[in-house]
Amino acid sequence: MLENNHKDMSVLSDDEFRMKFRNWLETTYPDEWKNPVVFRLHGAEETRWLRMLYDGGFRCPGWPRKYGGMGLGLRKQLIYHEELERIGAARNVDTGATLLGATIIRHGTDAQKQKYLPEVLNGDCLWCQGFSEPNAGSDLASLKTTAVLDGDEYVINGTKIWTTMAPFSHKIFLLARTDMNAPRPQQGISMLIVDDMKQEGMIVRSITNLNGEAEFAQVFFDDVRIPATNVIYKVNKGWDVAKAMLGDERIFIGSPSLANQTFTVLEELISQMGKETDELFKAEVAKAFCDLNDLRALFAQVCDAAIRGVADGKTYSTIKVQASETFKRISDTLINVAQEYGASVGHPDLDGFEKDILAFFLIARPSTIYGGASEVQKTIIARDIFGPLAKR
Amino acid sequence: MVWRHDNEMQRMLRDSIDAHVSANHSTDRVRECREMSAGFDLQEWKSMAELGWTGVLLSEESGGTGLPLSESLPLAEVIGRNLFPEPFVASAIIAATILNAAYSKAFQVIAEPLVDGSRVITLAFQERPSMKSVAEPSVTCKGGKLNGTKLFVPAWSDITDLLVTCVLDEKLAIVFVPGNAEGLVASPTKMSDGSLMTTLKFSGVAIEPENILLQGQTALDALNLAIANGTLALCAQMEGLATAAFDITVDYMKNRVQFNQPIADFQANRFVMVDLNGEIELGGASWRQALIDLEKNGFEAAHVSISAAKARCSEMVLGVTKASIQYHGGIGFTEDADIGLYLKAALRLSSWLGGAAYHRAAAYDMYREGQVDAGK
Ligand SMILES: Cc1cc2nc3c(=O)[nH]c(=O)nc-3n(C[C@H](O)[C@H](O)[C@H](O)COP(=O)(O)OP(=O)(O)OC[C@H]3O[C@@H](n4cnc5c(N)ncnc54)[C@H](O)[C@@H]3O)c2cc1C
Repeated sequence: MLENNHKDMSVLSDDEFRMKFRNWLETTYPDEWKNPVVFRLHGAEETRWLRMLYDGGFRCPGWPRKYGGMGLGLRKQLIYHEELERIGAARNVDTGATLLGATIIRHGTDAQKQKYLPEVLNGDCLWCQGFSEPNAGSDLASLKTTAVLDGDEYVINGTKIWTTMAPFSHKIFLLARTDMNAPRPQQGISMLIVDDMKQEGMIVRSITNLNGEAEFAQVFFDDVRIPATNVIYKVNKGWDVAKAMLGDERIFIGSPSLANQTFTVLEELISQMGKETDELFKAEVAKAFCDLNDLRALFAQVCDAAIRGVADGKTYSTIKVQASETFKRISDTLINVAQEYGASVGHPDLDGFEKDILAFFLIARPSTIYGGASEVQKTIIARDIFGPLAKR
Repeated sequence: MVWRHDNEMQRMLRDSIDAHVSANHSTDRVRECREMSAGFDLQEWKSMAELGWTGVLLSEESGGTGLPLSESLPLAEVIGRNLFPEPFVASAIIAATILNAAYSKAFQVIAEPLVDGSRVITLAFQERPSMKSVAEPSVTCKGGKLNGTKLFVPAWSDITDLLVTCVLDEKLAIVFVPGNAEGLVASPTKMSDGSLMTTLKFSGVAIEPENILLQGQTALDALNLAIANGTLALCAQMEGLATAAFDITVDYMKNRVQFNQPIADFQANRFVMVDLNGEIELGGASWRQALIDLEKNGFEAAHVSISAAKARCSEMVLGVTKASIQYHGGIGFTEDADIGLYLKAALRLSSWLGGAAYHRAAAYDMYREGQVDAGK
């Protein structure tokens, strides 16, 4: 019933697949969403785009076909993302497919698969991820939201914050404490599903970010009741599920695409300002260029390793740090080169230049905070290099 | 660093090298070589030849093994890791690339002694401290006489012969000059790693017609490819060197206790080392992609990525070795501590064939020229 009825594209050659997706994108992708200064699709727009992908047979490249996905290996998934980048597609978070769906496929019950996967596939249901709390960010295991069993229901109390797209989402999966007496903070946490963001006891208060967008929110749970069956995997094993949430797809957080986009804008800006040969900035721009070149190289090498199945945690952390730090540095260069124009709200007052460079700069800021702050990633890498701390 | 991956041939090569290194090599030997007149051991050069290292890139027609560059580079990496002072990159990579282009003429006379390790061959091409316009030398070959001066020539020794770029009939040419040729004066400078960098003055050195190896476009192509190959080999060597210094330093930091804890436990120190590890990863990835680029698309297409790789690796190897001194504390500043040998070798390798600042600018310039040519 879940099976994908479109032709199996995993059997195509890499080039055939690339051309097939490229042609489809060129005829289908809406012009108004190309190379957006607004970076992401929200709500109804996202649903529309997911539906287009679904109808075209290009939805959920990494999911197995028997669950309705495209069943593509990592190499073709990379091609898929390259082609989206090539056409200048707007990004969308698609938490339902990349996080929730992938996890349900791995750990969900049959009933959960039947219930949740189809509506993620056709775009009807958008999901958000409720992990972080006001006092549990990097130290996520210290989270305090509770879920107490009452008959055949859990009753959830607490709050989540920085929940991306919560104002536009239909459902949320979250981590909550189900065993208050567990010996270690990582134990006694479960991963739960709330089926309706608007149900009784739920309040979503959107938060405006530094770039002026109200994309994320604080979510309050006040005696929110969910069926006891809405647990993903096992009760009190939510930490293990959360850690394994991102499989191979972790690699995409290390993609050079944002750094690359920013460099393209930098080049446009330089040519617009007639600064191609300005000695003042040349070394800095050359550094940005080389940084991007080397990030791409690292990404290509890490992808190869992932395809061979040998990429480890340290490698994923390294590429995440490098991609986000490079994105930030290149956006810094953009602002420096723009000089007085750098702080313009909206696009600067330069003939024919319509890129909002300030937005690039601002949007780059949190890339080293979300998905595990750089310092947390570095702590993981350091443990690999040095072993655990001697004291403790 | 899991993504680094040897194929069968590379693994075999690496195993053979590792066996040789653990049996014959130590930092004591590195120190002994620093005292030798050439800065390396002519005897060890011969042993390396017996193992097939000096002929690794030379085509089979010239008596070499004829491996592609990608499969030869594990050697450069191990040589870097172990601070081998023998001129592998200068001779077995750079000079060999030129000889491969000229093999029909160069065959026995020049290539064989390189393969058997009885001679070292080096390319003299630079005339100023930049890699720009190396294809337009001011050294001339007129009426069978070579005149002019070359700078920064590596691998000078009693058994070194030369390949020299010059202008002949208004075209670039590469000629062979025996090391003991009359009219050749060599003034070597000792470098931080113990090697020699030599200024060569040619005053009417006689060039026999058969020693004019390459001319015109073929000379230019060979020179470009030799520099490209040599630059990537240096990158591999620098990665090896940096990795070794990094590992030694991590080990030291885990064992050195101050304030009742290993200095490895201070987060500030850990993060510096993590950042440097990231630089090693970037450097390693950068030259490997450039190598793929070179072997697939040729040196013209690969210029940009090769320069980017050299820039990254040059900066990375210095970054790692400087931090290594810092985390060794006072002992790091002593002549006796081995870690200093790594810094001194890093200094030499990072500047040879162009340093970080030069190559970053070059990569970006060449990229922009490419954009203009493509009509962008
Ligand atoms: C744009 C955006 C979108 C997000 N979307 C979501 C979402 O959809 N769902 C969700 O659950 N969460 C989301 N988050 C939350 C994100 O995961 C957290 O912000 C992140 O885990 C950091 O937590 P914190 O903000 O509480 O910062 P803190 O944990 O308080 O950390 C603050 C800073 O302290 C430093 N630091 C922390 N730990 C260490 C350490 N061990 N060593 C050294 N320095 C350290 C770091 O510099 C860090 O940035 C999002 C965040 C942002 C910015």
